[in-house]
Amino acid sequence: MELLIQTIINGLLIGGIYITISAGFTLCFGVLHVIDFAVGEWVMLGAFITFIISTSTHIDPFLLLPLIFVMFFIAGYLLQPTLQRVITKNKSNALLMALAFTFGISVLFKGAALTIWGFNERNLVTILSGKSISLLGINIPSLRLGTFVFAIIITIVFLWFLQKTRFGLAVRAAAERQDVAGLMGIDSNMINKVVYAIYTGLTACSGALIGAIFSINTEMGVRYTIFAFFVVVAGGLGSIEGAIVAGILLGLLNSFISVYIGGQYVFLVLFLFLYLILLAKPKGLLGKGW
Amino acid sequence: MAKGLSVKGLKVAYGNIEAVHGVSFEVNEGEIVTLIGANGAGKSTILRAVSGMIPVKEGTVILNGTEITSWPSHQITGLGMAHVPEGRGIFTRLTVLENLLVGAFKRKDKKEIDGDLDYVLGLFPRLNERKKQLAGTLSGGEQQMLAVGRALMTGADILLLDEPSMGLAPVLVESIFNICIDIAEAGKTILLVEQNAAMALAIADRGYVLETGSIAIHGDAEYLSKHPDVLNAYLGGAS
Ligand SMILES: Nc1ncnc2c1ncn2[C@@H]1O[C@H](COP(=O)(O)OP(=O)(O)OP(=O)(O)O)[C@@H](O)[C@H]1O
Ligand SMILES: [Mg+2]
Repeated sequence: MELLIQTIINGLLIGGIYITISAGFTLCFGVLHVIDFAVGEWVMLGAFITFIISTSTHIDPFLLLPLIFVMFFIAGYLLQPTLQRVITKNKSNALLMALAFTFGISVLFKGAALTIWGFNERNLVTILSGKSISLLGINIPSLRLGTFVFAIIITIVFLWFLQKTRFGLAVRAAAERQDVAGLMGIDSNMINKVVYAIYTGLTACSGALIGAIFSINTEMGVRYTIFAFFVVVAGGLGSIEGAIVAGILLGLLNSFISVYIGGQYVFLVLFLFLYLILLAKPKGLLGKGW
Repeated sequence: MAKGLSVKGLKVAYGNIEAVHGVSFEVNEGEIVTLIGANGAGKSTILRAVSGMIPVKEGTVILNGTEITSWPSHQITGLGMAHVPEGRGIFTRLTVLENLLVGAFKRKDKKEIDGDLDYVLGLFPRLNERKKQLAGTLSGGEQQMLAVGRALMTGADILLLDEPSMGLAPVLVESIFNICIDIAEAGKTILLVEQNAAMALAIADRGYVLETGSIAIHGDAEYLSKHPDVLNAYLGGAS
């Protein structure tokens, strides 16, 4: 019983981070119609940059999150026009072109990281590392709770921005019809740049949180690319609510599979689940996808 | 400076294929002007080029005295012209109210926006009842009202309407045309693209007949509705 509750709590806590990754990833797909193959590498880079800044300045990784967001926001903002050019040059194959381009980016990022940082594992240490809270016999690692809280705050701010601000309204309009949004005075090139920048910023922040929980290495990205695909497909392409539900589900599945079946089977069982979800609900868990 | 829209020698091409071959027309302040023509004549293409959705190959577009040829559409918004595109282009995943507010995206004056919102919701009581509803769940006629209302929310005085009657039941077609008259009486200028030539000519001051990318005939609505070619081709040969 205790193991079961522990497993559920661990799953929920880690699910928070998957939500943060997938909210940005989903928005990126919804507005730009780009499936970013490099999503995991943004996670990896976010973790590494946080590690480097944190070890050289001795500032806690949690406090570095705003800086990481800004740095990766700028990186995404500068990269997006190139991506946009690739898509608009070959409109009929836009989705494929975007996949090819972002696949190239991911190889480039990973190669560069390997060259610079090698294969060594690194650990991101925060004030919460190694501490834990005991509640009714259940042991909750403070770090996981802390990252969960941060992930949820980041996601709520993101949703608030999207649902309640004038700019968020423009983003949602452009997500549906860029040409008509243009008629309303919305500059979709600018929207595309900002959306991609928010996505890279959010993803890098998730990387910092993930780096605090698990160890950091240059190979870590692929895992999160696969996770992001799982969440976005299971939640329904383009549906942010669906991504939130699927993010929690992914956390729980991960936790249960690791405890009751074995860590090495995570991907196998995940994709079995994805297959079943797609059979039963081709438009995603909430039926709100494309 | 003369208010209104003036288009001279407009040519528009999709890739290598020219769809509009040097079209000139004018819409003066306070007028209802209609552009009629068969399927594929190039009516929507003209509107899209005028409002910057697609590039102009040749010619000039002048709006209220400012040349706006080939400006991107988001820069044209706010200069006094709004385009209600073919098929309405409603944001289905936004609420009715949000759709209207997107129309006011570029405007700063909160009071003016609220004033126009009241005007639009008064003009379309059905939208007022359904403010919080997702726009995708509206009926075709309601979506058309929303598209017109959203265009009004941009603060424009000149409306380009692309087949507002498309896909609507006859009763609704009539009410859409009545709305056009109401809007015109409120001081707006309208360029109305229609396949329903009879209805369009009934409410318009002037008209242009487009045939495969060129203007074949133009003149007063009265003159056009009696013109033998128009009668034969667009008014079903009725006398
Ligand atoms: N995106 C496009 N790419 C290529 N050709 C196009 C495109 N859109 C329209 N055309 C062509 O341009 C011509 C004019 O089309 P347009 O849509 O302007 O006609 P229309 O007068 O609005 O017709 P309808 O009454 O059916 O709406 C047609 O021959 C059409 O096939
Ligand atoms: Mg048309």
